[in-house]
Amino acid sequence: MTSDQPQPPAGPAPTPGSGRRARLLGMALLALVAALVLGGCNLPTFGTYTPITKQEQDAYSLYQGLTIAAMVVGGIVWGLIIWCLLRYRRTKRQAETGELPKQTRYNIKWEAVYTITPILMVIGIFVYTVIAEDAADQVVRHPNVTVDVSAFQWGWQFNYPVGGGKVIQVLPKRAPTPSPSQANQGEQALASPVEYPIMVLPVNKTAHINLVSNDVVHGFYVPAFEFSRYAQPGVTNQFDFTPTRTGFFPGRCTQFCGLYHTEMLFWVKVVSQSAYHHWVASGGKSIPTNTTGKGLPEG
Amino acid sequence: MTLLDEAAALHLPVHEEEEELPPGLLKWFTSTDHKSIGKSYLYTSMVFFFMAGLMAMMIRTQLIQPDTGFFDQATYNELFTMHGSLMMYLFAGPFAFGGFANLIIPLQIGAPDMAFPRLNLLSYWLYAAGGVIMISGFFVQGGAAEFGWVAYAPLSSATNSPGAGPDLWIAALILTGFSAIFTGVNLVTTIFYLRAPGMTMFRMPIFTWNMLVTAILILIAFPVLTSALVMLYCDRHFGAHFFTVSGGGVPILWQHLFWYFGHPEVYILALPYFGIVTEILPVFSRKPVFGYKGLVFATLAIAGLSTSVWAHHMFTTGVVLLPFFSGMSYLIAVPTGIKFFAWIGSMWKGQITLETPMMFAIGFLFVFLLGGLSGVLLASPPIDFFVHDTYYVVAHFHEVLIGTAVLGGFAGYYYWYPKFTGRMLRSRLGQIHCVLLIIGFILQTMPQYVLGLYGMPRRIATYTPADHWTTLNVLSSAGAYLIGVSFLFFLVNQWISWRRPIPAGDNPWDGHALEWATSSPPPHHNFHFLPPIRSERPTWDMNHGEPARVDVAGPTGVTVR
Amino acid sequence: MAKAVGTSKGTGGFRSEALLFLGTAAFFAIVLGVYWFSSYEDGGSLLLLFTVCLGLLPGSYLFWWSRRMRPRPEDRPAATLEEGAGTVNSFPDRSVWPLTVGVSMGFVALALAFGPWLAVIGGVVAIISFVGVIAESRRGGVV
Repeated sequence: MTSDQPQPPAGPAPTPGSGRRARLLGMALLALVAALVLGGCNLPTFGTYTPITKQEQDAYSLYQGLTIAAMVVGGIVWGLIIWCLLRYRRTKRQAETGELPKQTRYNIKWEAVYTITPILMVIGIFVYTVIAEDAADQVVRHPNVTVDVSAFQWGWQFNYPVGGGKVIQVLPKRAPTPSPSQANQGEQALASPVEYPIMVLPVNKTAHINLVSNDVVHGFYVPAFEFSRYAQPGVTNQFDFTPTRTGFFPGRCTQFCGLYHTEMLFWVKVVSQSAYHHWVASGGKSIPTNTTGKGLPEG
Repeated sequence: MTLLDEAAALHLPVHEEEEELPPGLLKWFTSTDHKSIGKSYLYTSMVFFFMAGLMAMMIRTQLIQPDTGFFDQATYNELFTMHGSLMMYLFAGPFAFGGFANLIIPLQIGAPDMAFPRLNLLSYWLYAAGGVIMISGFFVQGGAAEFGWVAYAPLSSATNSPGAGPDLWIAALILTGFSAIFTGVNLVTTIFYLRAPGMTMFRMPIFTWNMLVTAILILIAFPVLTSALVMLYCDRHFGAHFFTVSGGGVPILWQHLFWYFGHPEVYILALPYFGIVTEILPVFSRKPVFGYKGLVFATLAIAGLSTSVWAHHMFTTGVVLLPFFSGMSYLIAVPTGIKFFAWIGSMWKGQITLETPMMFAIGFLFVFLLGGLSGVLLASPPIDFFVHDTYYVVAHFHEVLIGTAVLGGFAGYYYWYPKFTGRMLRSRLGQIHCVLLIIGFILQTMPQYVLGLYGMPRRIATYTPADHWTTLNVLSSAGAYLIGVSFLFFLVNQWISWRRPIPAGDNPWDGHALEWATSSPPPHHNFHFLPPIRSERPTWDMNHGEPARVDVAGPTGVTVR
Repeated sequence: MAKAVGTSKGTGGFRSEALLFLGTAAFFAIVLGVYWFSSYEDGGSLLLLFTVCLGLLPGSYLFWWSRRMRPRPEDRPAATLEEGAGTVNSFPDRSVWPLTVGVSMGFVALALAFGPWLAVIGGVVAIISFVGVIAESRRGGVV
């Protein structure tokens, strides 16, 4: 400190070891987060879905751990602020006498604590993040199912190359792509019913998705799988899903793509492996691949 | 000689040319006085704020129930695009670096005006012209721009977004971009060259430091936006292929360019308000700011890191280096935490009084903390994969932006209103404004976090009953309406203060920095006399200084006691 | 001149300012190094490189001067107000030209949406305005 910081020392005399105690507290917090994330013990979901695919397990644990850590940090900081508001309000006597509080300008120990502790926490979070991220992004060499997903304004197409040159195609029915004159009418163009495509996947098998867009950037998002990825023109994104239970899960478009972005819905139907094989053998006929339904996941 | 005697004996030779300025409108159009320009920016940006706020309420009305159908999809898309564009480009930034910076920086450093007064006025007129042009998009055929405030390619290309609306949007942003760049140049030059004697860099108020760093960020970020917009315009009209795949272009280049601007932009929006809060908390705790140097270095760290994290908006593209951007984004939490603890330290063991500016500043602390914590979650790619472009993100950025620009901005407005008008705002109305605003905002935002986790994407015009999002949306819309109501109290307060003013005096809050040493409003060229500048709070020293703290300059140097 | 106790570190004026910009350049050079060698991504790396240059430009200018000048009154903590007395700068109080330049640029901007003829109007007014501004600067006051 330069001449701006004159004597007497302007901070409260730090108690011996207070800095070290605070650092230990930071370590303890970090360890708590670690235990929760790794353990994934029966914590509340904090508003999201319980994991369905294998790839999202680590992301889900990380989310729970970080939410708890955020609550703890938030609680501490809010607590400090509320403490100040309750404990350090100006009293009438102080207003009358004009006495001033101690004009503390700095306190090296505490400043070091609140600089170093977050750095340590951040390093810890970063390590877990990289672990979870690798798990979410991992693609296997030999997937069981491959689905080519194309996004377009304003619907999704799923192509299953099932060997022998055959491809099962799943398309939306009467997707809302109105002519320019219809577009000017806005809402009227959606009077015709729309059926959303269903991606059929077998349970406990790895499905490899190749995702591309035919025009603008779209977002392929399955909330229940806790995963989304952009569909972009000229770039094919690849990722895997290994669903661990059956069910019927809605999908949405997350990246704003124009007029009927709201209508770009789809579904993912996870079925038993035998039902899936039957579906492939029937050329995609044994399970309906379109629905007018919207809404919550089932199963 | 006591400090007060010394101060009274000193007079800056004042250039006593009091020009006969024509009154009213002509004066406003041509006055290059930073105070006039600052006020123009404040009120113009507030007009855009209220316009965009009305749009927000229209959006929330559309979403209050499934399938309301109040607005058709095209109009709804225009509404959220213009809501975002007006708030981000025409309110939050100009309110801070056009309004408060112009008004307050010269006063805080002891300067007569900004370094380039005519350039300053030009910045304001470019901003006003840009604002009018952006709004005019609503009145052309095809309506205003509809691609979100980020205008991703290829959606913003001529085939996907035809018409004059998007071109007007681009044109408006080029104008406001230059306005901001000129303001940035002006701010840096003023702060480097026009400080009063004794006002070293490390005695400047933290607000001035934050504005300096903001100005440097403006110089880094806005040219990138302007260039990207020119490239977009060339794509749209001159047959260029920067962003179209068919011509060999790369759509994701737009995202890199935009977010290289976009992320520093949100810190350009945040840092000034951090500075305002750093001014207010010590004054109403009757203590100096805690950890001054830590705050300065934290601000610098935030600025540097913020320019290095742009692709955390692009985690789901699949083509960016996730660990780098995730790690850098986490690191920003460290200096932000330093700032938070310094703010708490400024209040700790003080004597806190809850006048209106202080209430807004405390509200900022509460709200911004939540937004910052959800930002840490968003900085993690595996988590971002499932909340990206959902209402979780919408809740996060509204929390940080409203925390800073609205709560912090109005804290500054209530704090400095007496200085630049010479009148007080009624405190009861101000406190009601604050409480209603915070309650309304929490009610609006917390359900949106849950909505995002349930999978509600952003920028959708409606949803269905089967989604089970209805209750949360009703709560969120109710909160939005409450925010609107809170501002009625603000407007009434303004009206009363205009019709029945209460004189403020030089220093109604017992403020610390140099602006409180001059009259309210300040005279032409700001100071008839300056107190000696011996610390980061010269006015406080003048009013409360213990003689033992004063430097005594002798012929052979300085003795510091 | 006696070196005062507790002046800003170093000798010349503008030292903190110069280091601010040079520090910016140094920081981004490090970030650029890390980013380039871990990603080999062109777009972001070029942007970071230009940010380095942005820091170097004013930073090196100020640093060059800093080593050749004495501290100014605002660089010295013990400076007295008399040292800053006298004319600070010229501050034109009133000028119509920012308004005309702003409006003309508005017309040029509208030309982006509605056609080049607006740019012609804007350009003509802009040229008149620039002439006016220069004349005003030379006269040192309101034209």
